[in-house]
Amino acid sequence: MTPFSFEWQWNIDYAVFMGFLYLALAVVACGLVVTVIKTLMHLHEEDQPETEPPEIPYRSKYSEY
Amino acid sequence: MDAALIPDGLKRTSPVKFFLWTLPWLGLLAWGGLSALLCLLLGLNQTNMSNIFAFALWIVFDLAVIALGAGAFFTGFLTYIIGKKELKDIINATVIIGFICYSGAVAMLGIDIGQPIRGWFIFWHANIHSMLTEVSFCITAYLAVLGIEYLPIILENKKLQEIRDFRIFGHNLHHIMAVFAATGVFLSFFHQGSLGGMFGVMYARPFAARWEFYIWPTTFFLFVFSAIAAGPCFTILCTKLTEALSRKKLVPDGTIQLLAKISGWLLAGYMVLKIIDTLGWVHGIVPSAGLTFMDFFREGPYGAWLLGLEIIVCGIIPAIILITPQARQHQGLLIVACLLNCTGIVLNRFNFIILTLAIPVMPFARFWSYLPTWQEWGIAMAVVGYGMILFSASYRYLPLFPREKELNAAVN
Amino acid sequence: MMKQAEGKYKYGMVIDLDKCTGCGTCMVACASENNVSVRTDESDKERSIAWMQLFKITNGKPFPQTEVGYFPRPCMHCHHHTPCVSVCPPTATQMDYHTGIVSQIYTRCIGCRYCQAACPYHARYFNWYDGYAWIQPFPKGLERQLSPEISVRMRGVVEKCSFCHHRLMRARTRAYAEGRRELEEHEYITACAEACPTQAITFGDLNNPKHKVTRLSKSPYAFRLLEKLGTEPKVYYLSTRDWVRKMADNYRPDQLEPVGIRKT
Repeated sequence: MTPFSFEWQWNIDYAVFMGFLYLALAVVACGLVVTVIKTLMHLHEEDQPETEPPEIPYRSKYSEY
Repeated sequence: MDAALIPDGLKRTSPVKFFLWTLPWLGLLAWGGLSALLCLLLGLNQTNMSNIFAFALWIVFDLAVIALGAGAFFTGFLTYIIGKKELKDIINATVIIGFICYSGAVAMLGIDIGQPIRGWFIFWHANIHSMLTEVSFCITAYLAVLGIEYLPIILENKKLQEIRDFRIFGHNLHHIMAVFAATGVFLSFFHQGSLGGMFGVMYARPFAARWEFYIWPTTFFLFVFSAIAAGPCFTILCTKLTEALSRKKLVPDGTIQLLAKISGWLLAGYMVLKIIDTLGWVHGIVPSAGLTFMDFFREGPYGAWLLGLEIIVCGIIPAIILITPQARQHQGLLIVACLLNCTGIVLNRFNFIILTLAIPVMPFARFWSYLPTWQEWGIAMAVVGYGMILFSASYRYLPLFPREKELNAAVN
Repeated sequence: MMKQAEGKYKYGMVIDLDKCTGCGTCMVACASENNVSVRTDESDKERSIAWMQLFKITNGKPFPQTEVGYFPRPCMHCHHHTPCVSVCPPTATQMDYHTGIVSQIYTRCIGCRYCQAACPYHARYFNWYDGYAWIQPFPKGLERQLSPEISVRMRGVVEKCSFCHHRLMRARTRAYAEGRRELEEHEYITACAEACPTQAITFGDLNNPKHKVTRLSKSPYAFRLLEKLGTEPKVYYLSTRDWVRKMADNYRPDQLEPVGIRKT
């Protein structure tokens, strides 16, 4: 399952299959890590009162501003 | 009693009534628990599976429930990647439905395999050429993604929101949700497809075998297509059921109509491809195995009527209803169409699993019959019970439907 | 995607259906040689384990034209894109490149039964019961007939005919001890081939032109089960009777050419 483990083969089949798998897992893991880091960073900031209007997502149409 | 846990401004039934509601589902869970215990202690002889019916009720249930749970990834794709804002009103519900479907399927598989403790061998000693390996990897990874998508919904619970860490964590998870949704789409495409691929690659079983594009049989693409066609309809049905039981409007009509329209066109497209594939198979693979189409149905209760039912009654008819705006807007017809669509997908999975195994390939092999035991039903029903309880609890304690307050303002 | 390299040996079998009397000695010999588990009540045939399974076939004609035959069916050890090997998730079954034998690792098998679904010959058997261990032990004393050369199987794993692979190991060990590398034809044969009273089963190396199997497999009366599927079984059958040959595969009405009529 992992490179250098018992049944691993260095060929294109393994490269494609495991490559995509580890890519997907890496994306999920990184997403979680980034979220945790951002949370830990924001923990030390004070809670800002909601003075500004909420952020407008970039996909919204102009008429919705 | 649990008023502190119920979201602000929303009315929920009394705790006693809620507990009474959960009782039948807890009963199902208990039935399933007993069945699981028997199967794990005494072995799979507790079922009616045999050397002929190696796959049976549980596998049909697994594939059906995974296909119906496809609404989760597809709605996520439409919401976060394509940007359909209306679907934000239903995305929470679809995520929970998806989580229930996938976790239930994985739990059922744990009992289904002969040596559950060795389940990790699929990962560690993976045969990458097997479709089932692909299925296992992607389903497990996607279940993790669904868990991550479920987490911020749980953290929105009133009591949990009081904890600052959870509030910020949930908020940050929301911001990055598109990344998880995209990964979910990628993983889901492959496991929905591989579930179909599992049957298409069995070239020695002419009933299931299909022409392969490189390594992927046509069933790979057909199963993905049918899953995204039926998943949204299942979401609609669950939402309508919740609305009926809670006697509240939870999701705006526009959202439901959008899902129904997309589902309808996908179903129509899938039907075209399915019919072409079936005809190609009847005139290609079937004769090359020395058979005619009717040879498959010489013995036993299964007949060509099953395919007719799947394609015409549960395929073409709901497609027509869902793509016709006037029919789609009629509530009764919408429910019927969604039911037929979901039934069609379950029937499709049934046909590929049970018929493939029931139909003997060797001319002198006999036809054997199969009916599930109560232990098999127990495990399958436990998934339903588990789903009911989890969804009910989520509806009660979490702000599942963002527009619930607004849609029920006049009543409140 | 699978490498189809040819190994040095290609062990195969030829079964002469005109000699087979349906006595079932091959089934018994196989079961006893390979520690096949047996339950107290074997009436549920759907769960019985029979690595070598005897099928009874008939030409379907009424008396007096009725003819009956027997079809012993071991594992075919399919040579081309072996259906069970390609689908096994934890790689518990593999075709050995060197000998052509399709093996099964019982301790690796997770019991998903995908291989059973993929095999058209129903050659694979699942252990629905515990067998020689634990909760539902077999009748007392049965463990005394076990052969030490074969492992017993635990519940929840798939097993199948292994072409008596342990006999190959035994023969190789003996040859090595005698300073040889090559095996004689008679040194490695399966239990079923050895036990058959009419010598209907011949076993050997299909790659070796001197072996009897090679000659027999090239006979005009030779055919294989479900040949149209393309699994390339290493088990051949011989019969001069057309209707027997017709039972080995599916044929559309216009598709069978007669090869021989049995001379009475």
